[in-house]
Amino acid sequence: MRLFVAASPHSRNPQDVSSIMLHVILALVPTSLMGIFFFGIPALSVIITSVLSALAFEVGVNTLRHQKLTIFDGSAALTGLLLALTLPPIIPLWMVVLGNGFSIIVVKHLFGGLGHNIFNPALSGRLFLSVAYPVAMTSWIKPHALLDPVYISTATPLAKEATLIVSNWQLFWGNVGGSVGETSAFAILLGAIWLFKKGILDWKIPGSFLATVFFMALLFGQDPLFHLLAGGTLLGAFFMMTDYVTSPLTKMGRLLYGITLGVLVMSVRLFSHMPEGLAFCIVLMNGVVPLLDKAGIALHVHVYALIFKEHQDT
Amino acid sequence: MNILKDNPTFVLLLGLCPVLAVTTSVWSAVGMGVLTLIALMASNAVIKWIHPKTPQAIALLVNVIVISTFVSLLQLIVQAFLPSLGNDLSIYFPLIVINGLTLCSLPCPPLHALQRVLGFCVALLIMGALRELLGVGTLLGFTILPDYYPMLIMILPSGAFLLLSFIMAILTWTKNHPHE
Repeated sequence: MRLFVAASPHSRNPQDVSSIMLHVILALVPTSLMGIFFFGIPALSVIITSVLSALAFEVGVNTLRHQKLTIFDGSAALTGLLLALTLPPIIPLWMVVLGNGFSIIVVKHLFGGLGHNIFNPALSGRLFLSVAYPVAMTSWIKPHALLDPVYISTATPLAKEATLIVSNWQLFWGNVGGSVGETSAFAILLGAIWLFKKGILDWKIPGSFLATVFFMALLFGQDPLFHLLAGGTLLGAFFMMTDYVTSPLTKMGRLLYGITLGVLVMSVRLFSHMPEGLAFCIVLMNGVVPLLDKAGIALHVHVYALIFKEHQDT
Repeated sequence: MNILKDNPTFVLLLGLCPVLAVTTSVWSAVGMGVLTLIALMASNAVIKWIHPKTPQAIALLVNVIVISTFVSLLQLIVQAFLPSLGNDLSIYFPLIVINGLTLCSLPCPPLHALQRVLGFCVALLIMGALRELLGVGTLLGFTILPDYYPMLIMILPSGAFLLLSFIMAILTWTKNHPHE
């Protein structure tokens, strides 16, 4: 028998970067449609502007860096789409372009392009905008008929001075004020299930995160379902935290990442003066992902050592 | 031009704390620069005279005491005559002492010290002008961009870091591509 010695990778998967990006974009279609359905033309224009400007910035950077065009791998379009889904529907369109410029140029390409960025580009773009233009980034409107030109401003259901009472069914379908793509839990779950089926999404990060949020809410006497459905919890859990480049690779690291994020997000919601801090928490945790991977490997070894020891004893 | 090539802020990254803290407006940035210039040049002259007479072991201590004397004097004067500037600089005022030591380890030739401090002043001025223009839309309190939507991040520390790194990137690029 002949044995071959070769360097890894030993098994290859037909899925490549562009097919995964395409699947994620497809999984975001229901969410985008729900956003357009509830917030009408402004949401549509935000999504279109965001995707187009992300692609334009990608081409611009490629030309400046004398690279091959990387717009066809879908990563820039995905960044644009994700950023659009986290923005309020009535944000001025030039801010959308500015946010995409920050995402693509500063966060993605200055760190070396796809696969080298430390922080999630879409979320960093959103954070840049929300620190630069806090007023425009927190003007929410009520859901309204598709072509109704009258926009009524509203508070976020997560606001500390409970001015707005919404039912969990409203939150489930997305019939509340909020960012373009974060309101409809139903549409996000639809996309997430499709990604699970395709084997693109790993359950560990969203699972541990959502469980932590659930139990933290229970522990502090809040409605756990409300905290799972409100704000960006689901969009963040399935589409932001699971970004391949900026999340841990090890199993234990992923569980740690999800649990820490759950604790952080719930701490912001319960104990700070801000209504929501999901984006800040995710970008903060992106920074410690290499550490979590190291801790993940160490934990893995310890846990297995424990199990192995018990086997020896019995 | 040596002031940009050997700039203590953009190239050597010295004395960054006041650069990030007091450059939210041109007025306080210029104030900080001028005060640093006065304190440093005055103490440079005194130290030049006092240095040969001090034992080597306590030379650094003596330098610190001389600079702090001038900084304390300046702080009292500013608080008496320009209280608004004094408020803007607040706790960053005493940092001039440390900046004095880091910008040029005294005693150094007065020309060298002057060049360093002028570089520091130019850096403060550039940062202050850009941050006030982008963050508020004014310069020295006058409205320059009337229909401008202020970019709040620029008068926050995070914006200062961003701006500083952009300027550093541009300077490095011009250094590496001298002919373009």
